Amino acid sequence: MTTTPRASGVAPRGSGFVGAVAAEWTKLWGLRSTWLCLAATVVMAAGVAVLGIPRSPNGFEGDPPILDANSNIQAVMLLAQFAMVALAALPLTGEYATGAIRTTLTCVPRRATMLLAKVTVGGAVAALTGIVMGLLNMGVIAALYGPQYMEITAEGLGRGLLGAGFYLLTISLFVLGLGAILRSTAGAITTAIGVIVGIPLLSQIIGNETLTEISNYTPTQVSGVVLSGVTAMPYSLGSALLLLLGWAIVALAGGYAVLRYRDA
Amino acid sequence: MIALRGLTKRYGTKVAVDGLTCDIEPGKVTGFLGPNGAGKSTTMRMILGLDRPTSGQALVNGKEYAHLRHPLCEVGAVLDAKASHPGHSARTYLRAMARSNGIPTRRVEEVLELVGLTEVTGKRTKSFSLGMGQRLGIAGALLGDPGVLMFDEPVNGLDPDGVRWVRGLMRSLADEGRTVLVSSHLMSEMQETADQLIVIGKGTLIANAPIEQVIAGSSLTAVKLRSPQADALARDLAARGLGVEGDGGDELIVTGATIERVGELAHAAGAVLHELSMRAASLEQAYMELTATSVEYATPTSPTPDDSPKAQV
Repeated sequence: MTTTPRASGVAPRGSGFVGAVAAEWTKLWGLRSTWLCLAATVVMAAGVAVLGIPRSPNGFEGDPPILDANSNIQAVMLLAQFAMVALAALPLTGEYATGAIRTTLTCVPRRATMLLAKVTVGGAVAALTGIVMGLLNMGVIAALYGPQYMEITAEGLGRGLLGAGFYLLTISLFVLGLGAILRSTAGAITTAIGVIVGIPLLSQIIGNETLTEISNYTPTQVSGVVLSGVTAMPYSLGSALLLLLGWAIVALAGGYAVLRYRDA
Repeated sequence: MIALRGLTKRYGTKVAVDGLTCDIEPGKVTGFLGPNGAGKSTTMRMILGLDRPTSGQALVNGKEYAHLRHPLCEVGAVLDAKASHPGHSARTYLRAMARSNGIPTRRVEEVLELVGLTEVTGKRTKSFSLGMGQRLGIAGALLGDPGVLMFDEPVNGLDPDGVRWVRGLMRSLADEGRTVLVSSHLMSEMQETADQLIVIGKGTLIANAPIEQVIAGSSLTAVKLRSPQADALARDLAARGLGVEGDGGDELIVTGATIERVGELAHAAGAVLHELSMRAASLEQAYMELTATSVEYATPTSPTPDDSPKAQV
């Protein structure tokens, strides 16, 4: 029996990368966990920002110290980033856990397009969240410490807003890459925490030279150069930005290789 | 249409799918049968580009799945009832799918209505029953109005009403000229819906034929006759290479020839016939016979002798 194959009656318009991004965006905001992670980020960021204020200006004898717009931002990021680590892992690892990855890959069969769509959506949300955290930190300083004691400079704004956005962007993409490699939420998050907190903490406790050297290149230590202008590290601000990007790119490249060569 | 060309999948030294070559044609329901572990799901996953073939190709409308520009408008697939993220609502699940392929989002409401899930569009799918999950999967498969549809065990978890609905749906999809590939373990289900059967065992093609032909080809499909000269006739038919089984009385079961041929031979032998009739095997019997040697997880020895067709072969 020969029958003429039937053509689809639906007229699709656009698809490819733009369609894949639209799908990722729809899926991200359709999950309760997204809102919970963002709410947790804001609460933790605001909480640490409040705790980080030295003392009420009235409690100082003489003139209170002047705070930069980006002071405390490193501490604010340190805790709040973990909610973002979860948010960065879940859109991919959650799909592996539930089997939804098969739907995602039948909709967008090209692995590179699928991964880039997740990078775009996750990266945009993370970068914006970082900037919002910077604004939140500044708002807390201005509200509780007094706007007249906050110094706003281009450098402070750059570090406190753009630096924070860039740091959260790279951390999120690093975790997304880990998720693509490990295909497990718990695996991706614990590995990320091990790199972000574990190694620096261990090097402080042990004091081994090699370990300290390694620790100097972990995202947390590198972020000190970006966020707070730490100068004790053996690299410049530009190198620090590249190092952060490097962590993200290496993890994503590994994730792409696994996606490409391992069955879904 | 789906074309498999030497499709092979190896996991280490184990061969899951072994050089499968066949066409799955439009306009009919093709049943995809095989014992557990025969490679049915692996084959479907390779057609969808989820698994990479070790060698060979699976082509949909002449292209590999990954090269389709709007895959959902060419192929719809229901692999299992767990295609959606349990935290997503039915609507979010379908909207994301539609957007990924540039399908107008009004199609979402259309397919939700088609599968009867309009009442629960906003509910998170973790609260869905197995049957509702199946219906949602089918809605996703129909979203792009594709010409090729694949269902892996589609009636799993459906109530009798749902089973009848799926059966009717597959029939009408095929009648509209679409390619419909359905895997199932339920032979009775296949006997009801399939036009064509592809049977695989241990990853290799065992049969690819219209369902009537598969049944006719079974050794259990036979001609029954009764004759006062049964003994002489049995020798005569056996001498012509036919399979003959007697019951010691006047009854013979003849295999390997059509009923017309058996009648002619009896006439030529001058035998009187009191009965000449067809005994058709059920699809289940034909299938058991075909796959008897390729059951992946066969019970090593039957604890009790039973008279199922499997034990006979």
